[in-house]
Amino acid sequence: MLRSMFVRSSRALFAGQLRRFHVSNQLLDAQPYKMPAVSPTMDKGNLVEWKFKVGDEINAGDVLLEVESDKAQVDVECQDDVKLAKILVDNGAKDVPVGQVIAWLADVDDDLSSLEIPDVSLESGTQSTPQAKEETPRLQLEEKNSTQRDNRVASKSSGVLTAANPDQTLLPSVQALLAGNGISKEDALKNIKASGSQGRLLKGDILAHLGKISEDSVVKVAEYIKSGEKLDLSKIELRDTIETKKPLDGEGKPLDGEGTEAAVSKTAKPRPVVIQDHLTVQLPAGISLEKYKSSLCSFVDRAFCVAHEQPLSNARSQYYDDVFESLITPAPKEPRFSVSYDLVPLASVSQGQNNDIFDFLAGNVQEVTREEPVAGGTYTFQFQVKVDGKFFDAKAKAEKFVKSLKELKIQ
Amino acid sequence: MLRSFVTKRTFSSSAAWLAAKKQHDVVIIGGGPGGYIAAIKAAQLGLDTACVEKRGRLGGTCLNVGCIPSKALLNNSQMYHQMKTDSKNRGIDIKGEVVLNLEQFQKAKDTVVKQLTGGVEMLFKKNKVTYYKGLGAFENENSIKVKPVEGLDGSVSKETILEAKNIVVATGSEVTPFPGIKIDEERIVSSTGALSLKEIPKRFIILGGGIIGLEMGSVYSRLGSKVTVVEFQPKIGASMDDEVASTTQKFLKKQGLDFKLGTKVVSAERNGDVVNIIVEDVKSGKQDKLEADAFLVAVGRRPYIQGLDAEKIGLEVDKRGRLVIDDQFNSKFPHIKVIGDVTFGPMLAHKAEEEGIAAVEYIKNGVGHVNYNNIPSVMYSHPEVAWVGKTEEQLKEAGINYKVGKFPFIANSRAKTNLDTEGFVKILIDSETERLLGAHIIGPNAGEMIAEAGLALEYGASAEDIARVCHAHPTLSEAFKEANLAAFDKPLNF
Repeated sequence: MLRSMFVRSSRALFAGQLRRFHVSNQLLDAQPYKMPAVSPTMDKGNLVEWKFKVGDEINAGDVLLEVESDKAQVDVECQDDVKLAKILVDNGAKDVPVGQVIAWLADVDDDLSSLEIPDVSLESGTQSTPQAKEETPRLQLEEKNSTQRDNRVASKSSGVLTAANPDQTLLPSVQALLAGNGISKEDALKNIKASGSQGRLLKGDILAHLGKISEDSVVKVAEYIKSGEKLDLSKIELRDTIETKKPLDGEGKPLDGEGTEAAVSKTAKPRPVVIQDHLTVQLPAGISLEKYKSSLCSFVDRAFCVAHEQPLSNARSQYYDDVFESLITPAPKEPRFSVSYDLVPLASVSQGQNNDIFDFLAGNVQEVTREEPVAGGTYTFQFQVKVDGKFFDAKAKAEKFVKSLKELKIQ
Repeated sequence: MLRSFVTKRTFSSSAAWLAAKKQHDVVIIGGGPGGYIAAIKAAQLGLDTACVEKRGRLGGTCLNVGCIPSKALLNNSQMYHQMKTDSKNRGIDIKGEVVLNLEQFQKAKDTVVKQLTGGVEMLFKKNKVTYYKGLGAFENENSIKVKPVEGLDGSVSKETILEAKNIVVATGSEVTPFPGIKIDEERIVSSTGALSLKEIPKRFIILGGGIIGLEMGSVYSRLGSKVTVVEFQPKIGASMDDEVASTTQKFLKKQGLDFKLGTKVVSAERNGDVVNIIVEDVKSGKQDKLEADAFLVAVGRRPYIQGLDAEKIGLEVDKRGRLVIDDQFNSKFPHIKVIGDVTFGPMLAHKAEEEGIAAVEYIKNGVGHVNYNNIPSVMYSHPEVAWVGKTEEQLKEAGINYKVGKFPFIANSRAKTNLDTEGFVKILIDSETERLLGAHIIGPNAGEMIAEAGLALEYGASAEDIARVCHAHPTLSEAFKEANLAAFDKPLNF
């Protein structure tokens, strides 16, 4: 029976790289013979010469044809006793894609005159034969179906069945089966397709090779296992907008005491609340403007952090747990408000305000100091706090922040 | 007030007083089991690596409020329970009374957590991972802003911008709240609060019959609570094989846990020191009132991206809040990878670890590998439950013909000598190729034994391959071997 073809190459490494196709011969009278890959990277090659003519009987082990890849010229052997029924691609053809049907093989007992050669025009790049066209439509259909089935199995096999890795340590069951059936390790590695990862021969592969189970069952389970190796990322449903990411999750989210505010923020569209204020500051004696500015910067940053990090509820309570607090606070790390501020000499207050509005429109730009304040003297410390209405605790936190900023005046 | 800042500044470095800038090859956001492993691996691969963590202690949920502390409670509560109930049979008489010292009991747990999280920090130092304590957020797609955390020891002192060639997001997950139930972590608790209850509740009701619920239920049941597990599904154990789940339920029931399956919680309200719970049978709609001294909400976890500013750079989020990735952990930006609970797949520490390693290997070499077929799950009840690979239900659904090999621990000599014979090993193999498809173990030390199944699965072993490997005698692992024998042939000792 037709089982498979394999390559004998001067480079043993290439052996077994051929695709095998397994079809029970109830399905087909003739078996398609496809352009073999004689090196792992080969995707097309030249057909140098057929060593037999149509009608010749070929014994297992005979060299059937010679194929030239970009790497080497290789004799391709026939593994089973077959009869060459039809040649589709003639000697000397260049750049024949791997997998293209190049001939039809029949069983040695088949009578070529009565043999049905299927129409392979469905396969891309394959020539259809006059013989095939003469077939009755019904038969054609049958054969097409089986050809497709054959392709399916073949392509399946090529996905999960690979050449055996020659450097592997055989599994104990594989060793036992090979020894029990008189197959040497070398032969096994050369001739048996592997369904394990990285070309590992598994028990099922040997059983299929021995004909004890069908190769389909090896392919089926290997494919099933392969399908689970990666995360299923096929049915990802994206959230519609980015905005939906942020609001409170469900009414079940525990809220500390400000339930009404939260309810409002859920139903009504959050509208930003802007608190604007300014302080007049006198530069302390002996401190340069640069130093003062940096102090102011860290002062504002610190107040910002303090307002965010300090809980509104009593943190000294023995029931207070910051881990828990962070769990129940909606988006605990999300800023509740943004702040922009400026230190301007008293004279240019109006321009400073313009800047602030611009900042606001552009979306909270921090620490914009366009005009170099003159060292010494009186400045206006302007600030603008934009409250994020999405959070129930945002306003309280923002007010706390403003309060702490105003402490600057006391200093 | 201002002055103090001025002085502080003179002590700090002379770096720009605006946000400081640092550059790294890889910045990992989150120091949980996914993030810290990724950080160490990246550093070992020769990348200049930084890890940002806001909790102040590395190890994430797992080390701080998850796997590790719960295992401390499980192990010690089991010892206590055995001393109290089982020592006489074994010929150990205890003079006086075996008493639980809850304070010390909790302290033992806290010590372990402290040692382990500190250990991770040491590993960072050893592997030269730069550790930023602070809130990490996307500034843009190439830089992370680390903000100081008030009151956190060792927090970055000012906002720091980390410019990174590669970013790994490993922000993990948080407890999913249950609609309508307000968690106060005193009487109504999440898994976090359940780890440190101030007293042993007389009546402990658990919402959710998954692994977390059953483990905490086991702990407090052993310590004397009357435990009731309420589960919406008709079975416990989440993704467990059905047969294993029902056997587990039987064992737990014998230990005194009560189960209300196919039941939903309508409301739970704290009333003084008591929690009033109304449950409803899903099928009949019949309502029932329950009272508890502590109520655990353990309905699962959800991805955590708050404060990450993922939306600022437009990272995609799916409907369940997971950051969207491709099969190489890439977000929409190939240099921003996402691993662990915050993205797809089972929320397990060891899965996050594997992904962390694979993600940094992708960064370094362009290849990485996680086999999602082979991610074990373990429940540390007694007996333990562990499984890896496919369940019978999954195989039926996929139309795979399979054979089952089972071996009970009652027939295992080591289990016998330990007087610990509950459970079995169940092996699922393909009926034709005999390739191992799944292993399900209930029994003593199942969690350790499952590693053998994982190894076998990874190498595509058949049941015969496992059975042909010499297993030491007398060990529990012989049961595993025998179950494999049973799957393709016949067991020897049963």
